[in-house]
Amino acid sequence: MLTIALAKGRTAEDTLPLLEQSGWPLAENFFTSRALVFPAHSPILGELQYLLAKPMDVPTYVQYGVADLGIVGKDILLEQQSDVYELINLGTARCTLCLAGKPETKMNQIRRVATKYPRLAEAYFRSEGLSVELVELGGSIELAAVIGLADAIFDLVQTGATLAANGLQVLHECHKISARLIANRSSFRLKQDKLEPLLVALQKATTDGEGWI
Amino acid sequence: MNRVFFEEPATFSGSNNGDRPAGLRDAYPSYASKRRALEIQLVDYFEQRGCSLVSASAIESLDTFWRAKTSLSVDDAYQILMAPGKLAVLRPEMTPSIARMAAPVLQQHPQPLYWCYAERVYRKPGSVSSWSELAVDAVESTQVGVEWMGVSEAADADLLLLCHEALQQLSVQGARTVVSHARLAVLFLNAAGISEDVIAKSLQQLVRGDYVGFQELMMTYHSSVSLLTCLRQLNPYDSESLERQLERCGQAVQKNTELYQVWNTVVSIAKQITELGRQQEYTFDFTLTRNIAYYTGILFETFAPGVGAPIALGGRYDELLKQYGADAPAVGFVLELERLLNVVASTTNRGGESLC
Repeated sequence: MLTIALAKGRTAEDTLPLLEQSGWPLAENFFTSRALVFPAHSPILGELQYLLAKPMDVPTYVQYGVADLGIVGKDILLEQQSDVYELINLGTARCTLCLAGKPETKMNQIRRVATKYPRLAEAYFRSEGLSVELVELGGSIELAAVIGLADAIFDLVQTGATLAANGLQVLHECHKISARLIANRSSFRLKQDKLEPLLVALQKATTDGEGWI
Repeated sequence: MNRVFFEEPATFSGSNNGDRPAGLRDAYPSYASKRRALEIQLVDYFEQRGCSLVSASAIESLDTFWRAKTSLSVDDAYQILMAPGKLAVLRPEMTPSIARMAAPVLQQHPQPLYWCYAERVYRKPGSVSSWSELAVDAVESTQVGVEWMGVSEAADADLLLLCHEALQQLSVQGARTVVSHARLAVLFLNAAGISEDVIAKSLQQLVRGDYVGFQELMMTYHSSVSLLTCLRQLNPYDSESLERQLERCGQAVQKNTELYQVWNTVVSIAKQITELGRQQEYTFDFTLTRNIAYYTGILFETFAPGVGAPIALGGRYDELLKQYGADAPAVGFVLELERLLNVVASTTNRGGESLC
C-alpha cells in the first residue's frame, strides 16, 4: 500500500486540485473530516492512504519510510535538509521567504531577527555580511517585530496582508517557495512500478515537459 | 530473583544519572544481544566465503583521513587531540582505514586480499535528523563490511551477488540493489554538451536527492530534451539504450570513448546478472550518486521493504590504495546493522538459541 503525507493547511488545500487534475486517487472527505488518515483506492494501484501532518513533520514521515511520498513546501526542505528525494516542483502554495520589518527599518540597523527558519536565516545573514542574533519562534512571527522582541522577521509571505495589518513590510525577498513532491529513498527504489504512473501524471499536469516520463 | 537497583525511584527529571552526547546510542540487553548475533552471523558467513576478518583502530590519523579525499570534512568527524598540534579523528567511515592497513601488505605481496570487518563508525551530529540510524550522516552506526583489494572490475558482479547472498542468509525478503557508476552520468552529460563545472554542480544536486534542482539546471543548458529522463532510461540490460539516449540528445559519440568503455563495464555486469536470472534483484539508475570522491567505478545501494534507507552500500575505488602506497584496484560494501535489525525478524544469539 502506498502512503502519502500531505502538509496540512495551505499546501494541502492548494495542491489537492492539482492531484485531482492528475488523476491521482483521492479520499472524499479531506476538508470535512477531522481524521488524520484518509484511505483511498485506485483500480490500478490498489489501496492508498493519505496522512495529514504538520508541515514540519512531513519530511520526517518520509525519511523514516512510514510515508512513501510527501507533499511539502520547499521552505521546510531547505530548513531541515532531510534525506529524501525531491522529485517534482508542483508549483502550488507559492509564497516567498522574506525579511520583513517596520517601514523605517534600515538593513544595517537590524540586530535581532525572529524566525521559524534559523538555518536559512543564518545562511541569509552570513551571505549579506550582517551580524544578527536569531530568535527562534514557533508561530505568529509578526508579533515579535510589532512588540519589539526583534527588529525584523524572517518568514513566509504569501500576499503581504498579515504584514500590512501589523504595520510591517517586506524589506528583502530571499527565496521563492512552492510545494514539492518528495519520496522516501527506499520506496523510490522498491515501489517504482507503483510510483512511476503517479509521477508521470503529476509531471504532465505541472509542466508540458518531460521529467519522469 | 528480585534485585533492587535504586534505593529511591529514578525519575526522568533526575539530572544525576550522567549524560551522553546527542545522537549516540546505548544498547540495552535485548538490542545489544541481537545486534551482536547479527554481526557474528554475517562475519561467519563472509569468512566461509573466503574473507579474512580484520579490525582497525577506531582512532584514525588525520593524514589517513585526508589522503582518502573523502567528501567528509574534518568538522564532520569527532576530533581528538593526540599531542599538542597533532589531531586524530574517530573514524567516520571504514574504507580509508582498511586501505591504509592493506596498502603495505599489497606492496609486499601483490595478490588479492579478501577482507571483512565488523566495526562502529562515528560522525559528529549535524541536524536532529542525523540522530536517526536512517540518516546518510548517522551519528553512530555498526557496519559489517567486505573489501576485495587487488581485484579488477571483472569481480564486480560477484561482489554484488555476495551482498545479496549474505542478505539471503539472514532471510531478508525482497531486497533490491540499485547499481550506478561513478563516471557514467558525468560522461553522458559531457557527451550531451554540458560543461564540467555545471556537471559538478548538478551531481551535488543528485547527491542531495534534489531532482527538481537537477532538472531545472539542466533545462537552462539543454532545453530541448530532459537529460534527467535520458539518464534514467539508460538501461544496461538493453545495451542499445545508450545510443538511443545519445541520439535523443542529438549527439553521436565515438564507440571507443571512455563513455562506451564505462557502458561496456555495466553492460557486462547486466549480462552476468541476466545469465543467473536475477534481474528482478538488480536495477540500474545512473542518477544514483554518492558524495564519496574516491569511487571510480560501480557504486550501489541495497534496499529492503520496511527500511527507509539503504541497508547496504558499496562501490569500486581503484585509486584509493594509491594514496597509501599501493597501486591496486578495489571494491567493497558495508551492511548497516542497525538498519538491518529492522528487517531481520529472527536471528540466533551467540549461544545459537533463537532470539525471537
